[in-house]
Amino acid sequence: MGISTSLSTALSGLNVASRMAEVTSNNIANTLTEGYARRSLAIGSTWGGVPSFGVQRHVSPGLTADRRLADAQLSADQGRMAMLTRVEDIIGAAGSTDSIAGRLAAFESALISASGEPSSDLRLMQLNGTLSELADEINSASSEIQALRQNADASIAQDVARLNAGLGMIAQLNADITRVQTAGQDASNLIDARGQAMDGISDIVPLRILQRGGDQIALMSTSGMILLDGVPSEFEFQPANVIAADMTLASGGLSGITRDGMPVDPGDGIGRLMGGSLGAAMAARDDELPTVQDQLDAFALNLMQRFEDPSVDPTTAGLGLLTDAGNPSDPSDFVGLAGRLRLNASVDPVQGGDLWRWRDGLGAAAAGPIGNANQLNRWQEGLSMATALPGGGTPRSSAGHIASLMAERGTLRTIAEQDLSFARARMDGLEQAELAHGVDSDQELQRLLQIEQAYAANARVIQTINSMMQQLMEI
Amino acid sequence: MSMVSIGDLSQQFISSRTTTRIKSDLARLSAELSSGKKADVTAHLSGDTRAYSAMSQSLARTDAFITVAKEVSITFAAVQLSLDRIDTLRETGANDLVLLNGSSSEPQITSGAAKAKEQFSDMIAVLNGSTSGKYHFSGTAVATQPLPDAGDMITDILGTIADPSDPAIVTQAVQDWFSTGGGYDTLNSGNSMARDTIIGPNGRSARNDVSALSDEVREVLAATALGAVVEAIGGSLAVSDRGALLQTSGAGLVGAAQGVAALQSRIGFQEARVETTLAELGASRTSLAMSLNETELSDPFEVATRLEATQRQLELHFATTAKLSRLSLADYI
Repeated sequence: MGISTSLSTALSGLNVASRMAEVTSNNIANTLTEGYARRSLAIGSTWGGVPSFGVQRHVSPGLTADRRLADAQLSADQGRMAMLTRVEDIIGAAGSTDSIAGRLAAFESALISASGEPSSDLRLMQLNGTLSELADEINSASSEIQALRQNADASIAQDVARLNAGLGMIAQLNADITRVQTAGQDASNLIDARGQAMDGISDIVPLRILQRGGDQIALMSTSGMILLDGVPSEFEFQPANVIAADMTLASGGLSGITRDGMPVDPGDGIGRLMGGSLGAAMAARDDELPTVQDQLDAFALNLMQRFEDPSVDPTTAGLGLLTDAGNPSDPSDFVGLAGRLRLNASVDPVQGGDLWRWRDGLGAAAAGPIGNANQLNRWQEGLSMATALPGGGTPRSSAGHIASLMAERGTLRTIAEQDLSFARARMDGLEQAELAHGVDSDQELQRLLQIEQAYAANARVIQTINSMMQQLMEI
Repeated sequence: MSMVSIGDLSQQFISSRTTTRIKSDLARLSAELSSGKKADVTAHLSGDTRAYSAMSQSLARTDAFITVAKEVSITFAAVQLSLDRIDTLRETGANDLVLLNGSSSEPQITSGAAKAKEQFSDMIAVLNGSTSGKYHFSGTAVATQPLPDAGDMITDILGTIADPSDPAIVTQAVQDWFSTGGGYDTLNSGNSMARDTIIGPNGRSARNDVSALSDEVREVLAATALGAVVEAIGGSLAVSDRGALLQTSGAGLVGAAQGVAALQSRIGFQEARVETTLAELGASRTSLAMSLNETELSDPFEVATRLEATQRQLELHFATTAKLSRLSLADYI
């Protein structure tokens, strides 16, 4: 009948108003929650009431997907930038005295000074001091590069663990969402939680999200490897305890990422998982840092060869002022040489050598006249003569080679800095656009005013109908 | 109800990013201002730091060369002074002895011979000169005194004279003793190696090749020694023979002038080269230091201006943030 229909209509209006108030209060409570999608109640209109079709989540999937990809790119660029900055510090920034170039310059100055006063034992001891400091600096650069590789290896292990945990959580949430929806409840909170879990792993690997039916999702890397499709993939990685210069993926000393025991890519160890922080760490460990190590080793070999050259020291029988842990240089195998460079013990009185060998040559039979500067002059020339690094290239002086290496690292770092600031700007822009779709507390308060009004109106209708019914009863 | 709304979080996000950016700019500029150097020279040079590195290395080397060149010029000055002294002795001796001859009186001859002995002794003392323990005329054996005592040398020469009464034999014996392979070489404890010191880039070097074994030194010593030997032989030689020998000694000393002058000019030439090199090194050092400063140092006025502007920007940003956060519908309901 008319009146009871009006009553139920008014009641449904009241219901909807209170549900909308619930949604609005939920929104306002979550103003500061990142990853929270603004909710609204979807309502329709029929004769006889207001059906509500459930809670709607307002998201922009395209923006979110882009933002996640930008996150992966930013993470990769940040990792690379940090690594390049460290390498630049290790090799030495231009102009710093506490660097390989600085120590080389100190040794050259000591040679010049000793040549002016070859009879001075003090100046010869200075030669020992400065040359062994140079060797030490090259050694520590080499070990720091390997330490960076170690860090990269450890971060790969961490990222793989996080990826596995994240994929597991998303799979779990997928199942929970299905369960809740089958029970007829609102699964918005779970969907939000799943979005946050995806944000947690989007920096590791760039994600592509595939919609499956019923609010289910599958995850794939942008290069095409399935990460989650119903069942989450489980990745394995074996970190190395200690990394040395000769340990590489190819040599079997380091491991790559495997799935179910099979390597994802036998060639580079990472395959189609690259593009995020995982890819950057792998590239650092297997590609960029070994290149720096090779460059250091080539510089060390070139330096050793200058001193072993018979035209620079005619008395030498193959061993020069710098040795490969006591041995002469071997141009066919000098991996890790930078870490093994040592001062030749025969010029160091502390190690049982003789100072006069600085004047007379390493292989001289006996000490000669103490005012003779010829051998010291030849060593000076040996450092300035233009020779090429092993593997070819422009012939340069020793100082020229290290300056060239420093310039290369500096250029790579400045380019990476520009890439990083671009990636950051892009990420900021996308994040801001995404957050703009979030909860606007002013809008919610305005809506609350309207809901209040609607509730009051509906209550008034009920009151009126009630009084009409009372009147009917009083007949 | 599809209304356009702007989430609260987006405003906060942008605001906090801006604060971070301005604050890091502020930190960088104040560091630059207090240190006086550019924060990142490599970025300023867009990574191509090879020329800058080469300049720093050159500067370090130039400083070392300047020190060594100064040391070398001090050594050369000492050697030149010794050669001057030897030349003075030679000239005095020449003037004294050339006046004597076979018919001079015995007292004249005796006093002439005594002077010759003293001059020989003085010359040996000059040749044995050293500065801070390093001998000037030992070649590269700088810690060893080159020549023994003058008296020992004369004794050794006397030992090689078969018949001291024959002036021809005496003359020849002295000549032979000072020639290569003679007693002079045997008693000399130094060597004749040249001392090369690199004083500038590209292998520019200064050479000190004057030693007690140089031919010109032998010549002047032989001439003086003849007079000293005559004094030592004394009565075994006839007076007229002694006079003649002393005159020969004087003539020899006059002839040795050319040799000593040649030594002096060689050292003088090297001294001049060292002076020129020092001047060039000084100029090079100044220009290198200037170029390095231009690259490394920051302009304090520019940095201070930017710092002021950044401070103002931060203050404005804070004011805007405060105002925006006060604008909320909740205050008006």
